[in-house]
Amino acid sequence: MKKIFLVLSVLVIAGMALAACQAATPAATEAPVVTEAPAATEAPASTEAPAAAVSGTIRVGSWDGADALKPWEEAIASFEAAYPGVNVELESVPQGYGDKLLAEFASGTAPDVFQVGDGDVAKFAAQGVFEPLDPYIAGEKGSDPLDTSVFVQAVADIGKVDGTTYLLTKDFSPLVFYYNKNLFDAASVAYPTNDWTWDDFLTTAQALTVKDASGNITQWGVQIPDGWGDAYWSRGIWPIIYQNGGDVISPDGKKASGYLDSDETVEAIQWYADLFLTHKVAPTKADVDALAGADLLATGKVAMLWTGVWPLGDYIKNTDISVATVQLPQGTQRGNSICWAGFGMYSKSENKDAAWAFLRWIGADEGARSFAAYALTDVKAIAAEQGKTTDPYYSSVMADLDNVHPLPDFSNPKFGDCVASPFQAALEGYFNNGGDLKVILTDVATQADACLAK
Amino acid sequence: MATNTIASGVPFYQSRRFQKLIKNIIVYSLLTFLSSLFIFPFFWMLDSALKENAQIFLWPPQWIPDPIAWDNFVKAFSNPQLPFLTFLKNTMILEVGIITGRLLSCILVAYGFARLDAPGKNFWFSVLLATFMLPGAVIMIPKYILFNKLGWVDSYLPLIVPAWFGESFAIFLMRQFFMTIPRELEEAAIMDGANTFDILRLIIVPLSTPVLAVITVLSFKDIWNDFFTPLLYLNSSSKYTIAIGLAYFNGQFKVDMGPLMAASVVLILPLIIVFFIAQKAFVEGVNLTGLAGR
Amino acid sequence: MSTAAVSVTPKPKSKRIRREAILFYICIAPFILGFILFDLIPMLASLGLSFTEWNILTPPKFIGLDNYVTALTADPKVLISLKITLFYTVIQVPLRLATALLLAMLLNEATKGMGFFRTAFYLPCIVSSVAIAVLWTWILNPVYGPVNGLIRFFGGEGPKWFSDPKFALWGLIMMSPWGAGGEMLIFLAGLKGIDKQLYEAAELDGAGPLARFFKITLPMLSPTLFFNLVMSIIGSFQTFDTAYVISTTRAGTLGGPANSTLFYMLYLYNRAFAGQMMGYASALGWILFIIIMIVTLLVLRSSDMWVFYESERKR
Repeated sequence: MKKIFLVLSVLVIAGMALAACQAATPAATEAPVVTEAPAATEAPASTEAPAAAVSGTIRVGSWDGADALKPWEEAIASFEAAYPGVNVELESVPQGYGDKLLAEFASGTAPDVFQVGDGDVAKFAAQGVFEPLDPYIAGEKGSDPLDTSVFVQAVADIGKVDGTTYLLTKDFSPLVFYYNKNLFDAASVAYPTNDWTWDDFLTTAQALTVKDASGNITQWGVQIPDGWGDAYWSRGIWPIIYQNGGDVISPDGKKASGYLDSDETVEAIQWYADLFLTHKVAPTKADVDALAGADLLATGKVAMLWTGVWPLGDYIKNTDISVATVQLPQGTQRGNSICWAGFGMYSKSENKDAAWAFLRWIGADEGARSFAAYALTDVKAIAAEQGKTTDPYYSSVMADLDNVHPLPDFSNPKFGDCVASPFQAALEGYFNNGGDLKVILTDVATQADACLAK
Repeated sequence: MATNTIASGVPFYQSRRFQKLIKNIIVYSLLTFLSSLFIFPFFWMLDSALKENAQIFLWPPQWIPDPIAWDNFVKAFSNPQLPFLTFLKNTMILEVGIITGRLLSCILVAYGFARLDAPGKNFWFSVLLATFMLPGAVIMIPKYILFNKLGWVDSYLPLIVPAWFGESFAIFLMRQFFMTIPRELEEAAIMDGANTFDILRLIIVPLSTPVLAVITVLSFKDIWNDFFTPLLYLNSSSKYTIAIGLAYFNGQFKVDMGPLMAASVVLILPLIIVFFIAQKAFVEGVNLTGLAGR
Repeated sequence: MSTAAVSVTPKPKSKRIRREAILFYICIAPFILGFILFDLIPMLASLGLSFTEWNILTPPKFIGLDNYVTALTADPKVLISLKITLFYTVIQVPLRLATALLLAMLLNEATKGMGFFRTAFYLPCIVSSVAIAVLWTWILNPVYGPVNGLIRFFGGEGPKWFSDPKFALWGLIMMSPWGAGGEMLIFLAGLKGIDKQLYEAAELDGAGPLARFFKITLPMLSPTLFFNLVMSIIGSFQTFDTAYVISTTRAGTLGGPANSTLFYMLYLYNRAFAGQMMGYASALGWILFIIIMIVTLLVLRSSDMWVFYESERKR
């Protein structure tokens, strides 16, 4: 079973990799950098689309812009060739995508197909914005049934809410553990292995933190939990909680108390915070800000890095560093979280058949190939061609997919606003002012409960 | 050069010329100092635009880029996804459409507020001020729904048409300015048989070139830099404006500083040019001599 | 042309008044029309929404005054953001206007190189807010920025500016005078409108530069000053762009660090779009409206005492 999940491989070449990892469909957050790969030559196994039956114009919304539009152009071109009766209009909104989308929902004029970030899936689904896709998948509606076994189930399931499929996957990324072999060699420290524990991790990080003569740190052991300096990025902190056996919300999504403030969770956060405050092996937000915009791993300022898969392509190309990846270390168990983006159909679309044909094209068919050239795809056949499980860089990424916990945002649409944001603010408060973490987190959990209940 | 006294017998250091010299020294040195502070951001942008990304944030700063990264400019403008010439054309359409409408309508409205009395005048002036005071974010979605019902979405209409019905900032500013124009001029003209339109055309507008120039310059800049409203109302990227094009740099490449700075530098130039041209109107000022003698 | 030409029978006063009133309404007709067509309905809609709970996607639910009550009593962030916005306004508005006036007056005196200087002062205004934010995060960078570099040169230790809750807001305040170009232009237009003869006459009477400033320049400039003051205050209360870009330039929490830059509009925007609480956000908007209105009315009332319009009709 594991192997089936792991049958993914890719050859990554120069360029930029795109995945979406936002807490909400971005209002003005940055989408990370894009990588390219050569398009594979065979079509994945899927039924032939009856092209003639579908026609009309459909609008497609996305937050991709500039270079990230390349996969879109390829996918749209190949789609319009296969479905000559359909005209696809791409509406790319590089900033304020979320705001514009909300305005369009309010006036009932959203695009027929649109891109959504993982943080918004549950919310939008609950508010009836998506057209349920199961009838189309089964072939009852539309003309192109879809065999969902072509997908990696764990990933494709993120597009489902309460068992109903609303979205097809665009791309995804778990958290990846990078390290720079050059710095390890320089310090004569053994490379990380997939069996590492928290203790191994900490000791190594300490060994790789270098100070200069006046006591200023010139090289940190690790940059965590992401590559752009946000020490409070919750999605990157959840894995640590999971690795200690803790959690952030009850499985039914109703309470945070007993989970966010459990001993395991508090312990995990304490360990995480100590990396910055006590052991000082990780740069704080202020430290990263001071280095304004520089990529710390690429410039040799950190030896290890936790972040998504997006910069991997660039790091491989970078001749100043010799990068490798490994699975996240384990606490009492393994854990990881995932960032994900997908495409859905507007429930008020006026041309649902054409919309479904396009959706299917980019989610599972030729179009998916265009996107797979730039990021991780969940279509097994394409991934197999790309050779991801055997690839030295991607194998650990794929291995960790098994350890991904379901997104907490899915258990309750209010999670982001009621739990994640206050958690971040409280954590920032702890970093700046200290305090008792157990008390702090209990406070957050209690208030979160009230907020979730409203 | 002057001798120790001048013709009138006053010692040089008390003379008008000396005072004027001192004044000029103070004024010009202050100006030079302050302008270097103000120009500094632009200089830094230009400097960064010519550097490789890694070099932009060094301390102490390395002012001479080495190597000079001309390809930042190439990168910024040769991206087929970002047709800046089209964006430029679109932006100019907006500029001309909005500024023309704004000037024409605001002159009329401001004159009414400045010169004419009527019951309800204060009420409508309060309404004018009130339009500034409600935050735009709160009206954004209702407005969007309204324009959508009119069928104006994905066109420039939501941006251009309202400008032809006056714009609060310009009206207010012009009103203040008109109120400083002495009434005698108009009263004389009325005696000569002029109607309101004549007054506007022959007296008010010529005397208001400074404020009209200011509004033109400020409007041009605002429209040039406004990215959110066009982005909201336009769906087809072929209609996008320059500011939206610039927004692509910020979102996409995790702030790819080099090309972002390069694009920003180039895109500021037209604003500077407009400013230079409009400056003449500032310089002319208003000469009211000859008035008192009527 | 000749003064002998016209001898007009004076119209009865009431007719003149009525004619003037009609003329007035003709003049402002475009504004009234535009307002009714494009502003009134959205404004009424947002007022209505402020009494509802609306997540934008499902129909609004009427909840009466709940939003207002919550905002004013049960939401600490509202008061925090009001405090921050107020503090910012009180400090940076005078700072900015004083800078603008100083620059305008300097420019008014200079004759050579005016074009260059004027452009220099206006330049920071036209740079996009993204570039400005990037620039200032560099200027106030604790390790690599010139400000701290200068402080270190004099033997001190600069604060962490945007990374320090105690200083982040001051960083934003420091940015404000740079953007005084617009106000400066308006002051300049106003200065140009002052009749030179007034100055010449005063000088002949022996008035020194300070007296000329306080007795001629300021009063004659007061309509422009009034305009700039009102607009600056209103704008300052609605600060969004700069705060938003600085706040999000380096990811992190909105209004960070630690809510020290949580401007009212940032919070409103967050409630509206991130929290999808349009009803609540609308209520916040109307609360701000009322506050701004009160402040503006106060300035307006006071204006009778210090604003001098040369053309005021003698009653």
